[in-house]
Amino acid sequence: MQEQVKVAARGTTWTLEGEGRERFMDLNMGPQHPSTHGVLRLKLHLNGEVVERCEPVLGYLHRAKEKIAEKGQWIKFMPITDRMDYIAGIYNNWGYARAMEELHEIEVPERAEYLRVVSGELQRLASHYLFLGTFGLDLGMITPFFYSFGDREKVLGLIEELTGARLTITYFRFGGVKWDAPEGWFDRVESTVDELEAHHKEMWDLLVENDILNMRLRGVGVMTEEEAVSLGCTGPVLRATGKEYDIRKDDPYGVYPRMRFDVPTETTGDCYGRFMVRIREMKESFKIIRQALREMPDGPIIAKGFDGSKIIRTKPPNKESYGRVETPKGELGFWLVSDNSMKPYRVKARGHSFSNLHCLPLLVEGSTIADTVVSLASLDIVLGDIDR
Amino acid sequence: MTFIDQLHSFLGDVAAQFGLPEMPLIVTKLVWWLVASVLLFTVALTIGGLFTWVFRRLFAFFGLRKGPNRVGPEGMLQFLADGIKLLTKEDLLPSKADKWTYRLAPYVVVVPFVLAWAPLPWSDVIIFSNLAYGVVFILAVSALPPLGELMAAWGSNNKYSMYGGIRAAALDFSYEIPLVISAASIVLLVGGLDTQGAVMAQQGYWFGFIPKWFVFPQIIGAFIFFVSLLAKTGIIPTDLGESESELISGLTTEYSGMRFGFFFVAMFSGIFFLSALTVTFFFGGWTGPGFLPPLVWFLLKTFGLVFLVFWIWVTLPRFRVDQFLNYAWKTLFPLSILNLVIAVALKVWGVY
Repeated sequence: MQEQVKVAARGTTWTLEGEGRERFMDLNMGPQHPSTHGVLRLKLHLNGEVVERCEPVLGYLHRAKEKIAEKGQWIKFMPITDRMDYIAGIYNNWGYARAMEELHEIEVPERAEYLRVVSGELQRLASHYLFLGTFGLDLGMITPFFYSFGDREKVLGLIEELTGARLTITYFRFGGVKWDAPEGWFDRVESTVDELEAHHKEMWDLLVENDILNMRLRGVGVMTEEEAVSLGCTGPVLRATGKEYDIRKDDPYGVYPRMRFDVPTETTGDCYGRFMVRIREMKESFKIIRQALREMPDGPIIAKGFDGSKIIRTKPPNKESYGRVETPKGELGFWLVSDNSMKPYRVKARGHSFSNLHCLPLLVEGSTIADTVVSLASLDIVLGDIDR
Repeated sequence: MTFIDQLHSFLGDVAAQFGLPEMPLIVTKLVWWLVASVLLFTVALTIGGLFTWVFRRLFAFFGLRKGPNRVGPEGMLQFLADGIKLLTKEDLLPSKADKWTYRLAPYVVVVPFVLAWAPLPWSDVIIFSNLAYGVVFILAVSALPPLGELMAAWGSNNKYSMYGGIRAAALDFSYEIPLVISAASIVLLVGGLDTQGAVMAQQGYWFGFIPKWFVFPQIIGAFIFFVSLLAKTGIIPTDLGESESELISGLTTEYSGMRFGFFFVAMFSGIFFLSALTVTFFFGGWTGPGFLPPLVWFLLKTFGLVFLVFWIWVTLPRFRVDQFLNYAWKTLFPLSILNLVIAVALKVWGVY
């Protein structure tokens, strides 16, 4: 029997449903909430503090990006991609550029590929720093937020020197990159990476060996490898379950086959695993940046025929292509359909955060509100990518 | 001759000089009570306000920033600017709030924390009210704020506030009992209920150099007291009532203006007060070597403890509700009983 109980401070509208002692309450967490990382709304069906059902509601940031793509020339979609995952804009450029390069069979010069790797890994660091800061904040740790944002600031400073922008970068072009590195930039990257690595150790001590943090994270939001694969999770969310899946290794692009780095995995599949994968990945990024700086060749930075204003008249052949890259948050793919005109026939983006968010109900149902916040934070979603 | 009598005769002399009739004793008493309580509130709220600045500066230094440094010397008057801002803000009332409980709640939170300052010994002579049952008074009065928090939660008519209030109430039950038991151990060792007596009992040295602080025989009690302090003030490892990242702002979600300011000031004056209480019970209060006056010793020790509290605040993550409740009921509570047994043993063996 469904009993409706009015709990009331003066005609209030909370309605509890349920039988006997089981009383449920619906709580709309978001779109305005400090820890939903943007305008995500979670419909929580609560029994006390225990989450019985959780339903993410999307669409508060929808900007019809894929439709916008069809309205302009191919290259004009490049700045729009920056606004998708705005934490790691370079990877959106990269995904789109890779798809286009496969579609049009463009040969990318070597120096451009190395510049892409360096700027990309810097962007990965920036994204993971943001994750560490906000993850700590969601757990109630205030100071790591300032530490990691201080470090992120240094990375963004380097990216700004290279590209002229900090967040919406639009650095990549079909067949290369827009700017060559300014004078002395490689040395500054090298010294900054040394500095960041020292700080990274400090963050590690502060976060990883903290007892309360371990209590809060271990065994929370557990997911098995099969579940993660079947739900389409990628990136650190998938690697935390023990599956070693990294597009940089499994479907290599650019000069990644030459880079020597490990793919960190954890076997626990809980929030701690996801957190550890990211914080260990940062060490690999330091390695990759160092190696790329050592091997940086000279040469052109953009393919012949795609430099200057010629790029706007790009007419890819009449076919389809799918290009994907490993972003800090997972797999980002672009599916392009061309009808041999100057405008795309169709652009479809396969977002990492959108796919990763699907596992949230699985992670949080049966846990408490506090664990919901931690599980959500450990997925490291960005709403710009979910809604597009 | 008590202080009141001295004051009364002094006022009588002043009145006689101006040719005024002598006032009855009760008028003097009323005047003194008024002055003393105004002074108490001023001191408590000023310290509460000042500590918001201390906290923000320290927090900034921990996070490699500068913090408020513009208003007054080193930004010391920032809290006044903030207070004026809060006072001039609109006092919002949620449309379906329970008006009375909503409006009353901040006072129920802030007043007990200030009242509890009365029997706190600042030095051998500075004490607002040397009550013979000071410990009981402090414990009873400082247990009231959770009631105000529950009122705030209920009155706001907000689900987040309600969760915050329920959490705060659950938390209150869990830490209050170990807190009272560990205070009872001190009372047992002192053999009296007044706070000044507790400080007096810690004067002197063992072997000529170890101060006779209760923290040494009562280390478990001091630990329990400190953890309960963290829980009572509602700062980060245990700020379950507020839980900013989970419940938006918990029970103060709907509050704005000075009503919110009261919660804020109560929190900071509570941190100072409870640190001072820990110092009084376990670290010898105002006692110390004679080269500094007792008040300075008291303030130094208290600031030391407050610094530790702020350090913990900015470093640690938050407990989950059930984790802290488990910890309080299954670890702190048995430990406090053990601590009481130790106190009884010390008393029986004649150490105290």
